[in-house]
Amino acid sequence: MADKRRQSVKQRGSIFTAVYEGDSFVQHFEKRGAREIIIMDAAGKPLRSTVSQRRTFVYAAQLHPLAKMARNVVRDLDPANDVTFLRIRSETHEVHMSLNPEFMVVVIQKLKARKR
Amino acid sequence: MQGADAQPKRTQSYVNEAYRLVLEKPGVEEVLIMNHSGVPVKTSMSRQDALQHACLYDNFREKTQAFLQKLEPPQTLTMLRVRTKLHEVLITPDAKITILVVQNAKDAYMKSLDP
Repeated sequence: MADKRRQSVKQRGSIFTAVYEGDSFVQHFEKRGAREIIIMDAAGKPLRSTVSQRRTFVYAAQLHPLAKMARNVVRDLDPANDVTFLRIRSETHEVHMSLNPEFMVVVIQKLKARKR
Repeated sequence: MQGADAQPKRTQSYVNEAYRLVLEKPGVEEVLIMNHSGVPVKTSMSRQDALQHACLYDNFREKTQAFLQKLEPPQTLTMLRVRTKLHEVLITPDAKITILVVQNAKDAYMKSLDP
């Protein structure tokens, strides 16, 4: 799995080069019902994604400033603190963002409707 | 902090109940309850801390809500969780109040990063 990712990063022409079938990284998330995975670098540029390119850019453009803002909020309250994870939950979807110094992983999950 | 005079009595007991229930949960460090305009109503922190937390996180919550509204279909925020190295902050907006909880979420993530 790691080899595949390294291969695709070398090709700088287009962003989404390798096909995702059989990628165990993606399958790991699919088991939990998450179909949409976006990997961005620390600058907010999308590197890999399972969604269409247009949607990926929309998500990346929105989520990267949000992550930066979260980091500012946390740092304002306590300078020694730093954000590692961000979870945004709405009625139908949940967005998980894992933040690292090097890159960001975004996973979007559809929530099953529960009868109350 | 006691601007609760302007709130209807029904909401006030609701706030107290919610505050009590949250405090009982394990791992909770601090609780902050804001009214719909982001003013802290009931809290366990010092006033200065509470104001700072409320202001910053309410701002962030609004940005997140704006992000969700831009999606297809537009969605409302039910919960926001910010996990940091030291603790985890949960923000639950509601029609009447917003509950902000600072808790110490034990997980093995940071430990797994250490060699």
